[in-house]
Amino acid sequence: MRVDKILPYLYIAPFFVFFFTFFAFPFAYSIWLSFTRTKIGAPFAFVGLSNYWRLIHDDLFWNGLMTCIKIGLIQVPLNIGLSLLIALMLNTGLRGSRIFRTLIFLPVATSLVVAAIVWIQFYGTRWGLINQILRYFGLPEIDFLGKQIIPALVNVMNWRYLGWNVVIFLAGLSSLPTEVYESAKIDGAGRFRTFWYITLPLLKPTFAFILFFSIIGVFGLFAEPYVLTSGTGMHGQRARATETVAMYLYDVAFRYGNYGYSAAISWVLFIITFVLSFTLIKYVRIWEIER
Amino acid sequence: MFRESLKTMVTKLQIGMLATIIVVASVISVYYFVLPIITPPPVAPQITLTMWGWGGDPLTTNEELRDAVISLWNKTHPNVKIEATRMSWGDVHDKSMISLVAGEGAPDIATVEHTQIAKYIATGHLVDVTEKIKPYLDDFPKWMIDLATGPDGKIYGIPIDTGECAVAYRIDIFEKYGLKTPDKWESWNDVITEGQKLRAQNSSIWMMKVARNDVNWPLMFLRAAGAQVMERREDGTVRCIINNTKAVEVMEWLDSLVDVYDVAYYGDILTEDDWADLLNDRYIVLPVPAWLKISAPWSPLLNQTGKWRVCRWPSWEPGVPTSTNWGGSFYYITDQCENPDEAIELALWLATNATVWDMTWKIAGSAVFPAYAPIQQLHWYTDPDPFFGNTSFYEPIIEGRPYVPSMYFSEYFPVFWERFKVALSDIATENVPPAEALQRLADEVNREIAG
Amino acid sequence: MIRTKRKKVRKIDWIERIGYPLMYVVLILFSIYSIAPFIWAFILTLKDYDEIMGSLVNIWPRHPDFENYYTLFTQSIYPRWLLNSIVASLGYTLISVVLCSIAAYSFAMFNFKGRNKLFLFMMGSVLVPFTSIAIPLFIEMANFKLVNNLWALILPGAANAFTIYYLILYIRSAVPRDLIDSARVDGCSELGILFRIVLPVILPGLAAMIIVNFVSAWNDFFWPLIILRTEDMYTVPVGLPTWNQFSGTTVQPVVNWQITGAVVSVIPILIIFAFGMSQFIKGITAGAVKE
Repeated sequence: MRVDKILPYLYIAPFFVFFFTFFAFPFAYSIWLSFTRTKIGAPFAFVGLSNYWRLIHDDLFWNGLMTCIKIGLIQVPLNIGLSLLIALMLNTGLRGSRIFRTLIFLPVATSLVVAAIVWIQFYGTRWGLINQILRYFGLPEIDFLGKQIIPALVNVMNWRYLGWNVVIFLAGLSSLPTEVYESAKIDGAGRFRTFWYITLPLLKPTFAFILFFSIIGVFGLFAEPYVLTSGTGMHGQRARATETVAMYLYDVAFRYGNYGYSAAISWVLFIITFVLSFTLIKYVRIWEIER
Repeated sequence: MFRESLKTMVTKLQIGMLATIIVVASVISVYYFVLPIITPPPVAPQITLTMWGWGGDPLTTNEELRDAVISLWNKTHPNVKIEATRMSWGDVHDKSMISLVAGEGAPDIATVEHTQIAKYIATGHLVDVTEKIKPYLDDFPKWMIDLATGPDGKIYGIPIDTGECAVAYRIDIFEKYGLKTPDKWESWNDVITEGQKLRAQNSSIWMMKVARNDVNWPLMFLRAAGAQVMERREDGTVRCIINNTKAVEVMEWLDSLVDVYDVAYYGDILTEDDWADLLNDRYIVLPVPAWLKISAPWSPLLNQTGKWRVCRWPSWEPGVPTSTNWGGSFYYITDQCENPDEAIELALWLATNATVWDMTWKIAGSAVFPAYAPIQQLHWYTDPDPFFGNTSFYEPIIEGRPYVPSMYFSEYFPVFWERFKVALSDIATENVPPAEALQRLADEVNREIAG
Repeated sequence: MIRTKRKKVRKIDWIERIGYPLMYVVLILFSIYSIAPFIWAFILTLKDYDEIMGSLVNIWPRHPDFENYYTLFTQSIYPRWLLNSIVASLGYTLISVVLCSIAAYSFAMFNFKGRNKLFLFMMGSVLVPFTSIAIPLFIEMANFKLVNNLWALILPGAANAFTIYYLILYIRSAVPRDLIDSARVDGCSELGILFRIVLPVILPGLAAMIIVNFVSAWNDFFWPLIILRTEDMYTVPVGLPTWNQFSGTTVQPVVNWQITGAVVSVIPILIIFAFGMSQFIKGITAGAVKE
């Protein structure tokens, strides 16, 4: 009987050993780091809240946050709207919808690096395919990697995550109860009304799920702008317009060697993400209960 | 009777087997245990030195060269093994820094860019090479030794190469449009007058490209004009001073080439785009550091052989000769090295040994420009080059050497570097006035220094 | 009654006649949008190096051949990178699935003290951006002497909240409680229950997690970027971007290898997709669907 009581703990023990060693402990350590001055080339000191004080006045941080929000406000609705549209289309049981779904999903399964490498071949000013075609028709070139970096970035993100959200929406749509639809048909509801008043509300949990992860993704945005704007070498144009908080964090930690300050940035970022995503979820849920 | 003889036979067999086993076992044990004790120990202990580089030194260029250099080294140092690893420029810097600070994982020797070495010296984990480098000091450029010297006056780096600059230009196009070639320019302002003449005749060619993706490029101009970007005050603190008048003047001048006079355009350099531009005659004046040998065997521009010439860096102020520098690296020894004397010796040997440099040219087809002056006398650096119409690529560079101004970088240069990239893009793409962009840059860097 | 039916039939006909072909067109467009970059990248790999570089307007290669693939595999370090990616991804997948499934079983089937708190704690880890714990984790790896070691890619992420969450849901819905209870009454050992009853039932869920984890390890960029130092230890996403520089010293410019390497790295994903696409999708849609 004693063994019985211990057994559940035995099963979760290996998992939590890993979890504590490789997540919880670094996490706690980074909290402590944020209250110190741990900087390459400077003496170590415990500085209390001064990193956070600096952060509040650091317009590079707030610019980064604004960039995330700006990109998110364009990217997230665009992506959700498009993927919902595609999911609805695929849900009608067209012939070949499986093939479409596979093709649209393919970019998701490739790495960001591959995505960037591949899209740079389109975006290049001289040799990129899009500009080659434009030049052939005598049209002016588009400076994707320079002036138009935000549309270019939004496009790559959209391209990459479209299939992901399509698939999630499809799963959500397929779990909707059919009885509601049947009774709606009997009541004489038209296509649009059915969609607006029945489908959408029933998709609330799916929306919540997607929104939740989209917000986390937007605030943690690093790899796409990093590879597109400066790669991992010295070349590539670095644009203020696409500097996200996570990129600033990376700079402060790995380029400037200011570990204490970067820990503070990561904590504030965490709190902001936490608060925003949970309020959004609550807001969506409240809406749902009202209906 | 029979059974008994069988028994004895079997017993004899058993004894025989046992005897064989004992004999074999003894032979084996004598071989493995006894012999080593009575044979003399090896003369010198085996040492292994590890090195990281990004391809700018003989050990990480390619495997053939590495093997050849190592066997040359082993002829005089048979007990010192070398393991050289190659990684990207960014990685050598980032990872060395991290492992220096973490106290583990660093190589014995690594290479570092001249602009970044101050940061490494500031970690306090580099080995002092002052004594060993003394015999060679006169033949290294002073500004390099200055950069490798820490605040305590000790030298921590061994110069490998420099990136002193010249200007390459398309003589065929200059002649075609009747323009004054850069070797006859009184100052850089001639780029404006000649450029306007060019643009009037052919609007699809520009004089120059102004880089917007590489910080080194405008730094060349800043340095040639004598501007400074960082300073160390008397109390030891560092400040970014890029918002000083001279620097602003230089950046405004560069910007005006594009926005006001339309003799140059903003673009990315050293990318596929750039080579495509050069191959398609889009611009005709190319500032070149010594390591950018556009006549090297793998150069994309080889079918323009004979159409290029090189000349000295034009003056910034008329009548005042100047030159500039882009690039150049050091070897340094980390304090995690267990054999610093051998490591220092290896680094000095790689930097100053003529056979090594000769081998690099022969096997790799090209080499960087040596910081150590005697190597510059090798025929590789003085031979006429058909790509440049049978003149030597390095001659104008060597001539310009005495005029290279000193520039102070400080250990905060990486901060400046990252933010300058953004400032460049502000100026080039967002059309922010240079004075404003540089002011913002100085603020950002100084905040990070203070924070 | 008959009148309204006729009206309805006509309306549906009109929508269907235009609607369905329109949907096909849109879906085809989006599918092309999704795979076009790969197709262009593939065409580029068939070109010679100087064609990629100096090309103005030429879409189709002069002499299409697979030479880039041949030189990539025989002359470059790419095969080593592939090997590293395979080893790291397989190791990560194996350890994380084993760890998470055992722990998930415990969470799902047992009601032990502190279960809810531990669960919340675990799920909270999803919100933490990786950049926050990257530096302390790196220092930890240095202390364990695992820097530049593939184990550093395998161990840290093994306690994966996403995996365990999915498995908890899956086990709860798929494993019949009463069967386990009766097996216990019959005297079956706990380990026996685990291996003989639970394992066969959750196999599809495990398959989904294996695929999801493998793909995510294969494409992982940021952490390998930090922890891997020497060229011979790189994984494919870390190594490829290092090939885009022409440093002007003695480095062969290798943008053709970069594109070829990117295309090759997509192939295992394609293979996995051919076989396990539906499993992958099931794996990522957990939580989007109401239980």
